[in-house]
Amino acid sequence: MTSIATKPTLQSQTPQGGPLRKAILAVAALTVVALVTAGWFGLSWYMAAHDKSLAVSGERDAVLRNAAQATLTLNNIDYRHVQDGLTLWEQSATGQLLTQLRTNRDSYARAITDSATVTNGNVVDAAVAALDQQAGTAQALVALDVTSQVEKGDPGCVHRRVHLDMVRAGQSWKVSNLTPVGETYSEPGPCPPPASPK
Amino acid sequence: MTIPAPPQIADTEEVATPPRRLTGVATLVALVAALVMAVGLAAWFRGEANQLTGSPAATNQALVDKDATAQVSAQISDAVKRVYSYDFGRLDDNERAANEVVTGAFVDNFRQQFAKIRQLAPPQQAVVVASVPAIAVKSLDGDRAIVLVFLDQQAHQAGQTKPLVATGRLSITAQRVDGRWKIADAESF
Repeated sequence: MTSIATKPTLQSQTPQGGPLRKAILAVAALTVVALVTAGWFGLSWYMAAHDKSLAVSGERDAVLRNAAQATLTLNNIDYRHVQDGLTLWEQSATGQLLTQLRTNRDSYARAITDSATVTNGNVVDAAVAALDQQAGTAQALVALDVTSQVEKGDPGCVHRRVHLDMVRAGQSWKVSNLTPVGETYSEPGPCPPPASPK
Repeated sequence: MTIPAPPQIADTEEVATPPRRLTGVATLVALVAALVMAVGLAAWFRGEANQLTGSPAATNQALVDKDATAQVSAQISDAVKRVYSYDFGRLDDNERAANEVVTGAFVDNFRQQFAKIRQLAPPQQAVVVASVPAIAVKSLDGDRAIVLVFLDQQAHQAGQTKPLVATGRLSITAQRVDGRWKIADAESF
């Protein structure tokens, strides 16, 4: 349609149509540039989303978050809410650790209630030691301080070092094994307040 | 737009002017809309791509570059053992070996630490053996890495039958100097 209109009027319209025509051409050029740019960024988005090393770093950071959180959960207990606490423990665990927690749940509950224990953990540092993305397994190290208070007695601080075996469970990672590394080091009194996070 | 078209052909050139301007304006409006959409898409895609590639997680090569990560672990494990071990009878050797694996601000730090050891170790006949039961590279970015180290020290002293065992946790800042990973900072907690 435009081609029909253009031919007979092209020359006579030039003075009037000039600015409009120039504007159309300019905007059209800008649109082309913008579309090419959008295509470029769309492609880089696609490539980033399918980048293997980015997938590994994302998974590594997920392991780190879940390892720190699970260690914290597994070191926090309050005898006044012992069943809730033990349920949280089980939710952080899988495999061997979960079996162990379920088997010993009653004896744990009794021991915690009898001693009237309240513990409060604080993760000082953590790092992922190994990650097998395909197998869905990982290992992590967590350093944490746990303030422990029993009914009869003063609070104490335990400096713990733990090695975790982690297994991918759906969207998150759970602990299949928790092993202390070497001996723990205890001090009387509550743990010092957490320093700036690392 | 299609309705005014027939008179345009049938009539004179002057009549053709208004429809043509209208068509032009419509084209311009459509193009501006397309431009706005394209710019919007470009900005959106760019944001998504940057979020994936520009985050600190993406630049952290720990465990992504498995060979480099293993190299950091092995060399820093060795460096920590050198720096935290000593034998009262071989202090010069110990200091030389440790000086090869320290860099930056930690050089001074180690010198001060070792000056104390030179005073205390001979009278106690102290022999301290450090071991690293566990190590993990937390972040690795170019020539810089942060490493979590679990450290054990066994101290033997004259007059003691059983060694003293100390356990520690260190955050090591490692720096690669001439292809070798060295300790640039050590924080104990």
